[in-house]
Amino acid sequence: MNWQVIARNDVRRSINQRGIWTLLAGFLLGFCGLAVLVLYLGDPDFQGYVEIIKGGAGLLAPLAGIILGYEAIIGERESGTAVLSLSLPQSRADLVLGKLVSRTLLLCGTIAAAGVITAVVMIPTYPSFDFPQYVGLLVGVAGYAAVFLWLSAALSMALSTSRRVIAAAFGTYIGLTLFWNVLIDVLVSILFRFQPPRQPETWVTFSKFVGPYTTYNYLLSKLSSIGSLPPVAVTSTEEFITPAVAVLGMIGWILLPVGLGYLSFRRSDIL
Amino acid sequence: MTRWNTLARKEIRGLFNNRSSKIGIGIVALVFVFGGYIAPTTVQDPSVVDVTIVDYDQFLRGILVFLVPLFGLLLGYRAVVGERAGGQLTLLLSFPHSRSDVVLGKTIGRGVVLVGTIVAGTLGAAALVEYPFGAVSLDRLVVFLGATSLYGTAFLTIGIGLSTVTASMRRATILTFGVFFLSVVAWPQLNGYFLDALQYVNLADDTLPDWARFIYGAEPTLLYERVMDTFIADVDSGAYLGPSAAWYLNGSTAVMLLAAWTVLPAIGGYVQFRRTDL
Repeated sequence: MNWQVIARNDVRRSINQRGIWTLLAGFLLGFCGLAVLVLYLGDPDFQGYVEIIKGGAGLLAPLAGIILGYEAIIGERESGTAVLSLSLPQSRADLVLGKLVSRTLLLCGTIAAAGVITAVVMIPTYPSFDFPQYVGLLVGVAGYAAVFLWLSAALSMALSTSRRVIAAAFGTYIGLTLFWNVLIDVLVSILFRFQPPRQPETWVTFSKFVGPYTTYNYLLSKLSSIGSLPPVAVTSTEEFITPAVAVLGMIGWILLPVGLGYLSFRRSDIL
Repeated sequence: MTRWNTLARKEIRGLFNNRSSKIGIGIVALVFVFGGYIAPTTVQDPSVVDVTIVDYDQFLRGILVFLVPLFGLLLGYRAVVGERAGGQLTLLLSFPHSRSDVVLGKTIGRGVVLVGTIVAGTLGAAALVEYPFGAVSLDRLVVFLGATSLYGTAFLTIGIGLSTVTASMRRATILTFGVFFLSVVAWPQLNGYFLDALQYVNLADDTLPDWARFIYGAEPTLLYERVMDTFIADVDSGAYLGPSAAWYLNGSTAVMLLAAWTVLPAIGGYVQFRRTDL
């Protein structure tokens, strides 16, 4: 049960630092600022608002996750705090779990706080404000950012300097959001000796579908009817294109890298 | 029992800790894998005809008969003489390791690396041949792996054999490249001269007699080609594999001879090595 101590300590320390407040300001500027801007331009259209937020968060929310996640372990390691805290009766698993829980709570708390403040502004001014859709959007953004938080925390465990962690986390971000489908297409093209089949193979569709950017868009569009479906979900008739599989895919992105990162962290020499 | 075990394990670790040998091993494995990638593109219409290990063998054999002997020899030729010239060998033998432990441990350790590289590369290649265009049958894959591993091991033990009979690195290097040149480059071209020589001493008519074919064909590269022709490419013509050829020229005998090549050179080297003064 020692991970709770670490989590509580981490939350308390983060709240006293500027970073988390900057993050809150960023989310507030995005959510609330956009609401005010749309209002200012006239015609408060709620559907248009959530679609813009969905698109913007699709590219920016992962950055928030990475900012919160990348230092989780490597920061402690480089400053020497990890050695100190591991000399207390806390295992490495406690350290990792505590850090992950606290960072995830901070991320969700920041998004929730920004969401609540924005809702207070929007409810009286937007006649078409739809509460379930709004909550769905916030949950989707938080889950999507959490994927990148856990991914970068996994890198933070597996690599040995913070510079490498930042580079790898940024590479992962670019690869998973912008280039995931392109990378798969290139792989298929190479594998099929540059004569790719007309009908995509099942595994190709599957791996495109479980890319975090696609699942995020798919879930918000399917469950909260925000924005349009991603192309792979439109063109393919495979049976696994369901919200349940999309959620499982996101959970996989959250758990698998952290599991692997922990395995490498458990054996590494942290001095 | 446990004594050569330690030496073999040390040998494997040494090979993987050394940068240049790691690169060499990686390149060899990559050639195998890359062959598997290219092989389907050499087939006329890969989406209609299934690509198999036969095509892979056909495409890659010309490269393998150079690469595998070179890899085996380079793995083997410094094994003993390097430590002997450097003086570590006398130190090693002052521990409770016998000379046979040294030779056996080194042969097995390096053999594991050699076979592991060939197996890893071939399995990667087989996956690339199988998907998306082809169909790899397991028995042919096993035959391919077995024959190629035997072929590599034969040259590894030749290298280790040379390494045990020489006292200086330079002589070992020269001998190794001599063996490589003779067996891989020159021997397959010597057919005609061999026939001329036998005709000169009145032992042959127009073609080589069967016993001379047997001797000429008992060289590892020719044996490997014959094994692959018999069991992979299904060749049933020619002087060795045709219907009228003698029984001791066929593929099964070639397997036996190839297996003998994997053992005898190291034993021969050891017999010499056991008696030398270090």
